[in-house]
Amino acid sequence: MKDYENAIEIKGLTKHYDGFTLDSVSFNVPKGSIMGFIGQNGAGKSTTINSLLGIIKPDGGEMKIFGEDSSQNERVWKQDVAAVFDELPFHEQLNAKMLDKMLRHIFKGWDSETFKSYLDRFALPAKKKFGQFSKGMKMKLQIAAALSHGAKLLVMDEATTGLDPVVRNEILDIFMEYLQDEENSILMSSHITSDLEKIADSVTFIDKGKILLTGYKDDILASHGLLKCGRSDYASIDKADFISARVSDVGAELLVSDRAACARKYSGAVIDNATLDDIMVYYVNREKKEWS
Amino acid sequence: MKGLMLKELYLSRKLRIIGAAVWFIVILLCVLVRLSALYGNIALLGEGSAENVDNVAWRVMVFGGALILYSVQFTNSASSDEKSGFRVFEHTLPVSEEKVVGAVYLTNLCAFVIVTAVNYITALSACLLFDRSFDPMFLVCIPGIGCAAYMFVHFKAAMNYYIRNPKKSQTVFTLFCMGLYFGGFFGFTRWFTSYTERFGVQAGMSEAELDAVLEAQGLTQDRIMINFFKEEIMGAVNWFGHNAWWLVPVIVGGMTALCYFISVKGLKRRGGRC
Repeated sequence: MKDYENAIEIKGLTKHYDGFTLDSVSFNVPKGSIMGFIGQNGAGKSTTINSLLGIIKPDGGEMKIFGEDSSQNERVWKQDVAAVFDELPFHEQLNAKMLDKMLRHIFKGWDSETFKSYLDRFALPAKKKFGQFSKGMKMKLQIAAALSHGAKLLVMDEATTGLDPVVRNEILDIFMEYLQDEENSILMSSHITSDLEKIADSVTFIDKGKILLTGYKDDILASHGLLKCGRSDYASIDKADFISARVSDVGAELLVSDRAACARKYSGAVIDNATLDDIMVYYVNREKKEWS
Repeated sequence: MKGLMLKELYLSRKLRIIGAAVWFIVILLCVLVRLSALYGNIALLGEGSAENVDNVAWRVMVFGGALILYSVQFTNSASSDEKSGFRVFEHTLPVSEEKVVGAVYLTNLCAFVIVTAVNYITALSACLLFDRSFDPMFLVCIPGIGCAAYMFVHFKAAMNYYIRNPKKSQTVFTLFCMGLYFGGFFGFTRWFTSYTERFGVQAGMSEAELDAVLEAQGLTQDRIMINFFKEEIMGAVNWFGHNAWWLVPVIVGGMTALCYFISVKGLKRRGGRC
């Protein structure tokens, strides 16, 4: 594998369905980092990830994995990529022991000892059928399998959805361990923004098939803020200076994308920190401009 | 490919165990019938009846085992791959579509070889137990049954891979089977009708007229059916077995190759989850 800067490069990715279009999606996942890919349900996260992994054929655009065109030599780069989905993609009649034997012959880098150690760590029984696993156990099993063949890139599609906070925390800790090797990278799609705020280095926000924001998480959080004001002050604020506003009888909360400039322009205004959740909600309502 | 072949074996394990158990019970019953025909209650039925029961048990042991084992040994996990989500996961594996489909076909081929060997041993044992000669035709008929099952399974797999919706592919397969059944039924009826016409039987004859025509030639309706089976059907089977047996591997090979290519093409259409 030649040297590369970005584990994933997506440029102009397009896919059309009836009633939905993925419109020229572009972003990069730097090597050695976690990219949080956030958006509402139906925003296009899974379509993007499925196009990247070769599960569906895009209608246009370029994608590179480890610096190489992803449409070429799939069997080569897929040795170093692991995918984790929201639902367990294995037959219910199988068990972990069978899965170990199967994947041992598929991935060159498969390490049965590593897989068994993860099974022990997650307290997953080796001979119990997957149909009898709980949701948390199924997710842990997927992660155990994903981390057992020396993958350099983890692609996770809503992997923590539906899990309780204890299990989610456990899984996030494992990702942090995984990233201690600077060669490893993670692309993680989720609408649970609190998880991404904890561990993501960079964030890409997609809405209705379009990328609205992409960049380092700290930069995005630093540049965005929630301006709080009364109704009378709200009327004097230029609509071009905010993304959208939640308006009530007593006042308004506005999401601004350039906090420093707004602080200078509207001196005396209270601008609080915005979370990724706030940013997502306010951006989703950007077309309405005012909402309650 | 080895990993995917293991998957096929794991998924069909329960069915194979059940099939082997049923086969074992059937063989055991045939052995018990033989013992009874020699030393037990069946021997008391009288020579003709005992011989008939013995004949039936022998044929069941030779061909019934083949029918049971061939029908459960072949894998067809294509639709269950779709339902479980494994089809999506397969696209993320460093394995080509040719190998994914090839694993299914190769597993079935290995099962076919093993089951054919087992059925030959069963047929030979049946001949020794029932004191009959081993007809060389068995060497063709037994795998012939297997080939029919082999093609059905692969046709179903091709439908599942190409028509990703499990319900639609099942509908297409059911329609195909119904077409085969009704086509076979009408073909068989036409064949039997043309055979009976040689004995003066005509369409629209009443029961009494039919019996009168047959009785004049020393025949009954049952006897004409038995003669049709012995002369026409067994005659065709013997002719085919001696002169055109080579068509079986050609047809099976050709159909398998066609189903393989349809399956690979269907898998390459990249219809994962979206």
